[in-house]
Amino acid sequence: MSSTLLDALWSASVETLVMVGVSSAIAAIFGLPLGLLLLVTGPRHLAPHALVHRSVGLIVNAARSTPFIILLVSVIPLTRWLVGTSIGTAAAVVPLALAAAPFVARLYEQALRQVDPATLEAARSLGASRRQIVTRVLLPEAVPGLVTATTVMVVSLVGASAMAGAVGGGGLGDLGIRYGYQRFQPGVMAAVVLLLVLLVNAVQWAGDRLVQRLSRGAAST
Amino acid sequence: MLRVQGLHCAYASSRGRVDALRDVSFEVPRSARLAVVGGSGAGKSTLLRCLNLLVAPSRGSVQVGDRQLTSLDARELAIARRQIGMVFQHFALLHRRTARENVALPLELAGLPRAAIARRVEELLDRVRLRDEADAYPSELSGGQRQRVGIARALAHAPRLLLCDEPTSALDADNAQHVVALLDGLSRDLELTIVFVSHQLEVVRSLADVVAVLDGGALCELTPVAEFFSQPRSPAGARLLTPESPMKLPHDLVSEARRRPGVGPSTLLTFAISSNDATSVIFQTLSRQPSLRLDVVAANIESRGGQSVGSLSVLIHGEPPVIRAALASLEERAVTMEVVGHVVDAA
Ligand SMILES: Nc1ncnc2c1ncn2[C@@H]1O[C@H](COP(=O)(O)OP(=O)(O)OP(=O)(O)O)[C@@H](O)[C@H]1O
Ligand SMILES: [Mg+2]
Repeated sequence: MSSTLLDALWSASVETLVMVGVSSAIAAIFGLPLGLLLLVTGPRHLAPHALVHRSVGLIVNAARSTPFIILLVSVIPLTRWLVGTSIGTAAAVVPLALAAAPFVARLYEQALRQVDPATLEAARSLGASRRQIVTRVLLPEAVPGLVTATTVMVVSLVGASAMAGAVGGGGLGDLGIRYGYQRFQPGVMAAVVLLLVLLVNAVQWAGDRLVQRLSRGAAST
Repeated sequence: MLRVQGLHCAYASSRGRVDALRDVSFEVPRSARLAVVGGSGAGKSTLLRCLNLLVAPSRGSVQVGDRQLTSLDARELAIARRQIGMVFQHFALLHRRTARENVALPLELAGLPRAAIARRVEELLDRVRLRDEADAYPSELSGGQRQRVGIARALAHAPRLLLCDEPTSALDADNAQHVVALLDGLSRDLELTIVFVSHQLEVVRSLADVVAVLDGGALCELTPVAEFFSQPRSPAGARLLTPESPMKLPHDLVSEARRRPGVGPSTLLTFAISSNDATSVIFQTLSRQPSLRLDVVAANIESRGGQSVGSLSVLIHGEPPVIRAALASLEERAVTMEVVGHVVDAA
């Protein structure tokens, strides 16, 4: 493999890491409040609100059921307006974050729902305000679950970023298509796949380790 | 110390409206220990949760000390709740906090300075004898130890009233006994008023001063504990004392009767049996009305200390006025009974 190819692999990897990292961060920042909102506005929860609950649920579901490839194309005007261009790594972040936020919002909602309702009731009996219940009990108790959910999101963003790369976003996907498919260099294709596999495994491993460290005590569920 | 008046509580559920509490009124003096007993779904947990307004009653008032809880806004209520400790069946501890950090939670929530929290937490851990386990996580503690953490947490703000929902049901006999002894000691040392729910008669016997029996959301009796065990005043109370062979009343019959309160052409009655001649009094009185037909639906009577105790459920068929007259003469003879309600098509 030539040194220019190695350089290309290196910079494509960096682009992928940036794409995945930035879009994960944005998705998590929007996804957590959304997931929390979905949970607490539900019936008989901390702040029941049928209208908010149903409309947020509807938007999240709509966004989740849109195929990524369609989202990729349809948000181009938004991307142009936000980033100034519709191609390149920065531009790819927009559709990636947009697809991942509602997805991770549901995962976060599930993780928060795993917190034993009795502990929330106990907090109320101790005189906690709703805000305190969320910040002192619900979120801290859900941390391992939230990390697991984030890991799942990052892993699926690695896959999605390869697709975004193929339509002009750069990164490993882009490289794989250009060299492996269009110029028929199976070696490059294999290297790209290997790097993606390594990346996914590294993310999963780090996530699992973190969850293990965060689940205090021996037999945490 | 605690005064409950005309408490009603209704849940909206998929089955429609469920009246979990119906017009419950009682008072508990300072340092008294009240056991709330009753069958499954009788409304015990709901009653307990109404006492610190975790569940909002649909009517009625709750007064703790000189504070009328039912007239407070959310902020005031949160502060008032610090004066009411609560202990849970499954402990409800935070899994990611150590025993010490769990006990500190209520003090943190109140915004106390860190040094004061640390001092108070050590005191509390000493009280429940958990010094050595202070840095263990709940998953590393036994059930009894977890419940002691739960009790220490409930005592953090030195409450005058402690509410316990089946505090020993999840524990084995040994641990249950330790927890009972701890609560007993605490109530004496701290002049703590305790309201607790329990299915376990031994726990009721050793901890309660007064027993409140709930049935179908209604308070059937409020009886000093010794008297309750020798002579319960209500059929529901009598039923609870013979739990070894619980009466198997046909469920649909009871639920239909409950939906149609009062006397009808087929009326379901439950009698409390507390003496040897009780059944003969009942049958003699009823047989004086030859137009009435009787079906014994269920009976559960056993001998205790030479006396028959238990309960008897019958369906009486006949003209409602005749049935009412028969009930009146039963009442004259001081028979304890409950009109469960009436059913339509039970021939
Ligand atoms: N959140 C709820 N929504 C609807 N119905 C409820 C709710 N909680 C309780 N109920 C109903 O209210 C009634 C009383 O329930 P409660 O939990 O107070 O009974 P309990 O005496 O504590 O029973 P157990 O001994 O089984 O704990 C039951 O019929 C129950 O089905
Ligand atoms: Mg209960």
